Amino acid sequence: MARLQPTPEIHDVVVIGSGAGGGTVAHVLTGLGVQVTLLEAGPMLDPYRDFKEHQWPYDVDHRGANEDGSRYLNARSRSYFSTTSGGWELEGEPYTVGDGSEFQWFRSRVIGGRTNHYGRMSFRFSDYDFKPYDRDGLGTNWPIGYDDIAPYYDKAETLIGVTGSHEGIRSAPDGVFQDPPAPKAHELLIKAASERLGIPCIPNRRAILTRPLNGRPACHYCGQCGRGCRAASNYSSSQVQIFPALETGRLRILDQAMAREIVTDGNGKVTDVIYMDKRTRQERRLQCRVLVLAASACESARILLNSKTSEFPNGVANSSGVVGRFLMDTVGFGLSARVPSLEGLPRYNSDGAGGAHLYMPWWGWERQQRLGFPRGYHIEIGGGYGMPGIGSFARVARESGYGAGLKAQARREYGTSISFQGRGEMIPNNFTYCEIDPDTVDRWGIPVLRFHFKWSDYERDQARHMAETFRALIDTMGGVARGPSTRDASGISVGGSIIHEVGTARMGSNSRTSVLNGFCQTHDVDNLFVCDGASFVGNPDKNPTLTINALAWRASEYMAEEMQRGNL
Amino acid sequence: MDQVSQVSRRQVLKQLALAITAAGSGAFNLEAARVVHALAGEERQAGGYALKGLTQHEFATVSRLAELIVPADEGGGSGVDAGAPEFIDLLCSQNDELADIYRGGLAWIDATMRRRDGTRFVDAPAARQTALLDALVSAERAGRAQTAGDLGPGVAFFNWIRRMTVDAYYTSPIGIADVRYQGNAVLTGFEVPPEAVDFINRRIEEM
Repeated sequence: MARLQPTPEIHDVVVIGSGAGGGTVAHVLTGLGVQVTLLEAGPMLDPYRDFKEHQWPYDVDHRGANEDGSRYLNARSRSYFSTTSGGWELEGEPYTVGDGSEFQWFRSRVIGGRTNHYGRMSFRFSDYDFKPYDRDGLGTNWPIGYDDIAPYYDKAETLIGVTGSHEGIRSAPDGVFQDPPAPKAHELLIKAASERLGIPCIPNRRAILTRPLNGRPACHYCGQCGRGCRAASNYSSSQVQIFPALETGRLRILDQAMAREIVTDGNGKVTDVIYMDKRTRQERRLQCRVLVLAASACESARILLNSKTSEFPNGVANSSGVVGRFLMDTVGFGLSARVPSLEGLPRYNSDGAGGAHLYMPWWGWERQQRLGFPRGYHIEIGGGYGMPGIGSFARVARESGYGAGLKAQARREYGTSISFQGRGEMIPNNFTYCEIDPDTVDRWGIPVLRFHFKWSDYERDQARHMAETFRALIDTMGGVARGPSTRDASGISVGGSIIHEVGTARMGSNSRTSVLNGFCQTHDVDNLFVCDGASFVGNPDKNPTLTINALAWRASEYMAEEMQRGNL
Repeated sequence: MDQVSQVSRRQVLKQLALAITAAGSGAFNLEAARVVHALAGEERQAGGYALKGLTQHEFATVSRLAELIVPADEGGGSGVDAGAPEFIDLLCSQNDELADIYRGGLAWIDATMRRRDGTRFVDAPAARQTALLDALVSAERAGRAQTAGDLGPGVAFFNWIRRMTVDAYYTSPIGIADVRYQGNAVLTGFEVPPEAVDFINRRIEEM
């Protein structure tokens, strides 16, 4: 007989999403003895089957151009080697962009989400990052400070393993670090140029092990972190948090489960979550004691906004009207250059711990007034002898024509390119937000998000400063700059394209102007938490993942205590 | 060898390569992967390659162009040796937009060659073939005003085939060996060789 009633079981904690936030919640709560049920909109992950680590481009006939050759015709097509499930476009799951806006949204539908492939940059916020309004009158202060979160940065770094060095730089607080790997050869040249200009260039802080940790081996330096690491030598929530949580016997995973809406009881409590089972295309319902959204900042906002009840006509936990507002991405600007003085460098294996071993933290916080723009940025660097792939020699081919000269130029110039990527802080503004598109649903019948995005002069001025800085660095090295790598007139990145979207259910002490309290608990609904980047009040130039880990960890401990006390 | 055992032999070798990867020994992968790749080459040399998207004549024209774009020299083989024609044929069979680019471009090349020399591209002497490519490169360098003339479509197509031939070459074992990429290995530690550090230190002194 068909079952028409909701399943009678009441789940203690249901978590929606399995990335940095959901993975941390699942790991911490199961560790504290709590039963957790995790919903993931994509499939289960099998690193051995799914990660393309160590494959050569010639192991596949399409060499990485994708089976349909889409890399050649669609700039947003997926990257074959470094995406398990997801990308800039998801079949059947569109989003829309408002008139006059540009926005890109990268989504991963798989256990571990975007942590399977992300850059592993792991930067603590500075003390001043939590009080931006006090500093320059822009944005809003967080309801918590550095001291509140510091113990959770410690816990997160201790669990996931982060390399770094103790520098005592205020913009980039030191943490619990493993020894960093040695700088790559081209990075030594960049460091010398950087220091000549008075810019600190220090060991990068990345969630990649240089020593074994909790049964995870140290990095084997293949440089392919972006493809996912079968050995789990870098952090992914799938391998470092969710798989261990499964071993406790207290975590149940429902994969291919796409959350649609939250049901409340009319007295300010969540009772159920409704989701679509993607395998059967059937609607299902789970009863829960506590619900945690960690579906990614924008996806969590979408679920809240799609949950309209008589109690919450604008969406559950949205009495403030702030859900979806104050969306932020990171300011991105990149410049690459050819550095002729690197020609003839004795060839070596520069793969290392995939990506840069050094970086430049923000250095201008004391003379902000004189710079002409608020807030700061850090600089990520690129270079070395990367594994050749689709497009690696496209410029050489164009410049050289064809024939013997083409091959000679490729040999001469391989490994002589470097790049600088600025990653800066955006000030939240009233023109940048997401909302439900009234006219469009996805293939699961769920109304989709519509994005609006605007940079202001604060960000454009910052991007110009990045351009000046990068040109000065390139000039110092005797390099030849290649022009902005991004599309907008001033070279600033397209909103969302840095994949640091946060802020859509911000925390605050005032329930009229914020959605969450400092423990990521919604002001309106006690048993509802949002543990992804949605809680961010600002988006400093510190890539968000480590702070998502720390905030989710803190929220989870609070949640377990409140459950213990009978408050949830 | 029948087709089934050919496939299974490939599978076995791929499994072997993966197993060696998993075992984490040193320079595991390059040799194993080259064996796998060589099998695809055997198929081609035996004349058993079945065209997927292009006609025999189109494939022959792509092959000649691939040889001219990336010629064999002392540092490595040619675009044909690297499998560029098969790569292009495969993607044309999977993508209608690319197929149209190639069919149209190759037909343009032949029509232009006929107008210039009265022959198809593949039948022309090498010097006449390179004369056409040189004209395309010159037109490209001269910029838009020039290419808007009768060479415009050829410049656009040559860009496509050059880009994809170069991709096929540098993503093949011979192209990777040509630029002496040393990575995709399993190491117990990361270090920069002292001679590379010395080289950089000299550059810093000159900076």
